[in-house]
Amino acid sequence: MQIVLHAMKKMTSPWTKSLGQLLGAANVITDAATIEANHAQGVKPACLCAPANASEIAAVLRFAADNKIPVLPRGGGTAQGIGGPPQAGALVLSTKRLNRLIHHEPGDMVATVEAGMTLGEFQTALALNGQWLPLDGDPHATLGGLIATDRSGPRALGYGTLRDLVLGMTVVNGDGVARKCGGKVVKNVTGYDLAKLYIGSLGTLGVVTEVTFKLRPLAIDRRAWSIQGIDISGGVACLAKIAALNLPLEQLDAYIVPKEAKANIGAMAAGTPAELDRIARELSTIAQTYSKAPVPSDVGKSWNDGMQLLNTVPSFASGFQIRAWFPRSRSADAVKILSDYAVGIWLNSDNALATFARSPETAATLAAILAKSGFNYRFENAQGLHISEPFGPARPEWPLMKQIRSALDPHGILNPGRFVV
Amino acid sequence: MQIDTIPFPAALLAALEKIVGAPNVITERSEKLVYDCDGLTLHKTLPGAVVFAHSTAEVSAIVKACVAANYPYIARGAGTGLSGGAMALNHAVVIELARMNKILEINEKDRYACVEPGVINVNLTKACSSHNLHYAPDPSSQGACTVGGNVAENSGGPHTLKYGVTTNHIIGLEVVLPNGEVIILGGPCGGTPGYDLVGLFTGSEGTFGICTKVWTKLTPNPEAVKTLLAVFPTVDAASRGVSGIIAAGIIPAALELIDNIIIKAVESWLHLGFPLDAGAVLLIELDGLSDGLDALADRVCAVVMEKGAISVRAAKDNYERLLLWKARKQAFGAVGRICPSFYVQDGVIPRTKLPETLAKLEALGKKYGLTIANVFHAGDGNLHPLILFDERDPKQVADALLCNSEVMMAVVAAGGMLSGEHGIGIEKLEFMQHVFTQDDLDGMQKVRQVFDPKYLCNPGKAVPSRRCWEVKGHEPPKPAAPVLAYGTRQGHV
Repeated sequence: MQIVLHAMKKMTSPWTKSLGQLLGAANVITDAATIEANHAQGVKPACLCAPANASEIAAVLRFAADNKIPVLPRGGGTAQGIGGPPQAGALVLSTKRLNRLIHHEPGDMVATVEAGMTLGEFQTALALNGQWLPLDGDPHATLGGLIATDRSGPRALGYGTLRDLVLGMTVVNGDGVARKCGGKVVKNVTGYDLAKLYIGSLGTLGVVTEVTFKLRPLAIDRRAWSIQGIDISGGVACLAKIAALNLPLEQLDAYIVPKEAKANIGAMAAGTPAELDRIARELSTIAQTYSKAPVPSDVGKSWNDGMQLLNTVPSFASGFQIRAWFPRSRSADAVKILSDYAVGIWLNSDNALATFARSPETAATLAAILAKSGFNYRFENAQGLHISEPFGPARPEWPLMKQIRSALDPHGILNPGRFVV
Repeated sequence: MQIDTIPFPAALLAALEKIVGAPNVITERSEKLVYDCDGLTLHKTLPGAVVFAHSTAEVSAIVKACVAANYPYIARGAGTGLSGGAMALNHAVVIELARMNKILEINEKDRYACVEPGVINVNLTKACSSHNLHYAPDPSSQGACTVGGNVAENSGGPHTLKYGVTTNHIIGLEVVLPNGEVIILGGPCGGTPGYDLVGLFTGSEGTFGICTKVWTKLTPNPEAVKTLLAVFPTVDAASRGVSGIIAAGIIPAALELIDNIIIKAVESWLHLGFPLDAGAVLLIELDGLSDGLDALADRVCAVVMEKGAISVRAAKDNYERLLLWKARKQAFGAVGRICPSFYVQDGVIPRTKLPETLAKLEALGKKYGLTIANVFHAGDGNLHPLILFDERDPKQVADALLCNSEVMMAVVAAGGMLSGEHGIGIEKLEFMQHVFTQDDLDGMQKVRQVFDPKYLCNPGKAVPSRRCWEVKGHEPPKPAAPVLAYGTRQGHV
């Protein structure tokens, strides 16, 4: 799969013209503003194309393979900081025109949607029939982008991750062939479960064009609670204590600011009033051990209070991030490692997203510590910090993954160099 | 030349005996008969040899020996599968994993277990029940089936409606790849970087290798459980009750439909007090916090009564609840008492299509003069029509197969898929072309070739091979011809 891909120097290379003939000139864009807006980690593409459907995507991928052009599938562009930097002069394949809701059958609690629709648009459409995709995330992110980067969000505690919510999909693989896997029913073992491969594959196996999701009814009643003013170790312990109660929570997080030695807990649940009252009672009992502040019993969206704590940290938005995963019994160890350097930590039951001020030294130190920790992790938004292994050290199963990639992207055109293989 | 007449290669036999010891290799016909089929008894073939493995190292060595001899092999757990997935097609070597049955770790803090593949499903739940945890996937065969087999088939069960099927509970695997190499995928710590090979492997029907260790999630036991039995005059009304519950936004822990034929069969055997005149019953289980559970049960009652239920009663205590579940889980066994043979399918349809599809199945039964009984995971839309027939009557066998084909096509016509939990195995291969294009299937084969380029690891299952695809007018696999001769065990008395 070692193919030398041409770096395109001129923005109006001859191939952009040929691509225009394929898709219509209006859908192949090379103007400076578009190129600028579609950079990833500071690296500019040569051109952006916007195919209308799976067969046009297939044509683009075959064209790119013939001309040895690297392709960067792009949805809402909200997670370009994940993975290594792209090659310069690549072709951005935008899925923005694949934005239709194909089918929503409320009685089946299932919807099929084009992958370029944003999460926000999808939720709005589903809400018309009283349902939702139980995933909280950036409303501007596309569904295909969420799948490629496996951003399942904090509600995974209550509803599982994307691998639990996707029932089937259509993907145009790197060989320019559209293929379907899974189905439109909620339980299915017909054929290999290739959807699992595509979730979290960072667009290296194909471009997702259509997805069928399992949905949930909109909550009749939802409440959020926050426990504030705890120190860091207390915050971690309090989170563990709440988690051990097995309450039917949708979300449970700790928001930690190491410099201020401060942690807030946020919890959210949907259910009947009786269930929610019970949860409120349990939470306030636990809170008394850790915090002097009373727990607001019904404060609407007050888990945002916790997030606001992180948003007040000056470099929270501009720093680089590490997302780390650990067995829940080791969350104290994980927080200890991260809090020595982090400006803010968003801790869930088995993972944490920590932000750090941009410094190559900090990044290198953390990479060395984490590689020895036994945790899994990835660096995000770490451009310019010389991270050689954004997904951690190479693993024994990666050669097998490389072969899978070669089978489905035989020309190695999809996001080369950005993922683990 | 019949494949069954080929003697088992002496060099391979010697190699296998060297690995596991001669007493752990079976080649005698009488002993191999136990392994000639799985739960799908219509199709039978004798394996070339059966080898009992006791460790990962042994499995790896056995696989390497088979590959060196260019001989097919297949892993087997309890043999309870219902799609022929564990049948030793092409006289394959059966690698029997039932003796790898140790529970290696139960970690109550991080809520996972690590087990060998031969651990019986229900034994895992028993082993962690003192920690108030359980292993959620609960196929009806859970008293016999193994966790390794569950991984291969991505098994379901009644409670998967709320808790998810096997794939939602498997977090790591140790796998002997089809070249004999041992590899670890995933594990107790989430976020393993790279492709989700654990998810890919689960449900691959033993064609990507043999798992020798399994890390599973453990699920906290619910604080409270409420089990309802709703009685309906007809199957149609019961299926409308199912749609009503789902449409009301209620996701029970389990939602099972049992029709009159099954009720009568179960009653005549177990005498559990089911209403013999009911057209169908729904077994509805709700669980969660005790707070609000009664109110939820009231809502469910209101919905099913509105959809035409005659009565609804709740299990008074855990004993009564277990009796209701016994009826459900012993249903297949009960049918065995009223009819010599049955053929069960497990197509899944969109839940809104239940009433019309069940009506279609009833019409198909009438067309072929065969009784079709229904006992299934209604909440998932996962049908289990049992076509009853007499295996001794060739016409009934032929009719059952034809009827089965039409049942499958009815599922496809409803927008459904061929299997919800039993797998494709050998029996549904020829239907794959009705739900997937050749391109789709080629993509699956491409991935299979990465794992098993020599095509020796459970060949002929799960996904039709290109060659099979290109044979025009390909016929469904027929019951195996009478076996004429067998390999003999050499060098061992």
